[in-house]
Amino acid sequence: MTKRILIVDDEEDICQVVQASLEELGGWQTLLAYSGQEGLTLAQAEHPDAILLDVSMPNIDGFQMFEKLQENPGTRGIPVILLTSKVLARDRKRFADLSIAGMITKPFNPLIIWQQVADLLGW
Amino acid sequence: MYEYYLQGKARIVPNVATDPWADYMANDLQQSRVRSRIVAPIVQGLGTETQQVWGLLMVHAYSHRRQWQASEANLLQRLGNQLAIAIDQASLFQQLQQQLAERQQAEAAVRASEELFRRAFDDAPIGISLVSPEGQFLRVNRYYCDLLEFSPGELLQMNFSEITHPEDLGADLDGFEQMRRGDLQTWQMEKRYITKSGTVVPVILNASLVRDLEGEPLYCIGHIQDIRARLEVDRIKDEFVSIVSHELRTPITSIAGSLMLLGADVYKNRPEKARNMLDIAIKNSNRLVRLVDDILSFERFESGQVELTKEPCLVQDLMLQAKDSVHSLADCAAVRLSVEPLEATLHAAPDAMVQTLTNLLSNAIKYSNPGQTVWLAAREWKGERGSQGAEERGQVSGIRYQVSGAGYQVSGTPTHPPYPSESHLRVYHPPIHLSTHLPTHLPTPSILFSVKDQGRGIPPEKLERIFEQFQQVDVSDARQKGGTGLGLAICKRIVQQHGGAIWVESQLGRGSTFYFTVPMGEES
Repeated sequence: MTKRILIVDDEEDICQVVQASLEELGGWQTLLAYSGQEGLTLAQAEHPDAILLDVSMPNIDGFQMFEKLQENPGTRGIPVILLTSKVLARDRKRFADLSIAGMITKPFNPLIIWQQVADLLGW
Repeated sequence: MYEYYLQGKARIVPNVATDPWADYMANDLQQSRVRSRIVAPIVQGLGTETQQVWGLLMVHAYSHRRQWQASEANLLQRLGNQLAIAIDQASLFQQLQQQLAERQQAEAAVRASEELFRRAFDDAPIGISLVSPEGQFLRVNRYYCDLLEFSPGELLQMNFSEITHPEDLGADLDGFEQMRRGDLQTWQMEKRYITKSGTVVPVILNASLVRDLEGEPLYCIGHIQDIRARLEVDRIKDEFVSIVSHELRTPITSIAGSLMLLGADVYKNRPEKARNMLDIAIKNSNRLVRLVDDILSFERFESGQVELTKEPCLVQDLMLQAKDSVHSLADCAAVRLSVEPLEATLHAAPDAMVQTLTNLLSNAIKYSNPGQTVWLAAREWKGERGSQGAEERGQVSGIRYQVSGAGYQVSGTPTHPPYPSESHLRVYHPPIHLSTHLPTHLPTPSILFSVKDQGRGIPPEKLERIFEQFQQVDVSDARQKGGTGLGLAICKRIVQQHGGAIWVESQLGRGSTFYFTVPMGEES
């Protein structure tokens, strides 16, 4: 069965670029959410196989959405890969403390991001 | 002769003329008709190794020779001896006086030196403490006490570990141990103290160890400096780097990503999808260009590189130029623009004025819903100097205002167009840190510009920082509306460089009004 990945990023254009890579090159299905709240709703309703989650979002940011996913037994098991343009050491430390599947830094290469996702998830 | 006198014996000279020890005085004595005499030496330190003849005591007999009695010689010698003692004592007294004066002088010098060092210690602009090898405070200066909120008496009863943040205690003790072993001459660390009220204060600690002659540790000298301000600057810098990094990387990610996909022929036979990718690249390239332009523009204002060339300009022209710049934007958004040009002359940099008005108008239009109106107005603003000196009062077209040193208030119900008569201005006091925006010489005759919208308004907690860079109300929303997060920061710099003030009033759900003043300058 084809894997389904939820992409959460308030930047719609980035969502579309990631979507193109995962669908056209990875051969997976994607779900798009443009806010943390929308992402949480979709994660609970659709239970995707993985989530690509942007860190910097207004209102509910990637960290907060990840916490809420972890608090919910229904979404706790979904592997999460963070997408980030954060560069500071203290941000890196914060990522290291999270039990995430991995992290991909912006700007990324859409021709290989699907491979990075596959590697991080062991697909 | 000297040796004789050194024995402390008086010498009787029955006949001066035949004195075998006739000395240089012999002639004088004879001319003075001295016939006979007794000479008794005044010997200092008689009977000691250092005895010396201090002088001679003489009794002369004139007119005839006298047969001196031994008792007379003894009497004279006793007088000589008494004199020697008196002279000794006077000499000793003088020596004592001198020693006393010298000691007093030395003590005064020590006191002056102590005072110098005490004041250098007490009044030093950093915290200084002397701590025993066991960690007990031995002495603390005023800065140290003030920083930690304890009195000297309280601190002297304490161990430094009691006020050290528990997470920093280990490293601090390690440093001291290394100094004690002689591995380190001095010790420096960033550590945190906990003040009496429980505040955590980060400091830089510089410590050194003072030892006695045997090399045993006597006490530790610690210098501490409050680094809260520095850490705050670091935090702001980090935040700025983080935001700029994010703001630059985001459009670059979209541009590079969409072009790479196109370049790899992912959408070879699907032109509509390919077109979408191309649109993403173009849209984000434009966004990047705007961002870079704004960063450069902001940076030029921030670093003072922009020398604004002020010239007399017509306020109505500035307003109409700004209106023209945003005309198409307003049309696209179906927002009505209401401009009431003011016929006045202003001494300002026209391009910068138009840029400020355009930025404010663009924002107002972007945050308005279709069918709503954005008003641009300007008025002459002549405040009257109040009797209280620092306080200013005035009346401008239905807006009562009051300026004081601490803040700024605008209140009342404006009745004049272009403000809608039903609008009620809710004023947040202070709406922003107005004291930092208002020039101290307010109110000089100025032009007060205002840009009012009926948009969503700004939450009170955002008003504080709305004029700082990258402080949009809603980041993603601002991006969708093509904002870079620098527009208002640029407006603020331009207005400041003109010696004016900029502020905002807003009511959630009802709209915002941005005001700025520019002194009329030479024309006024």
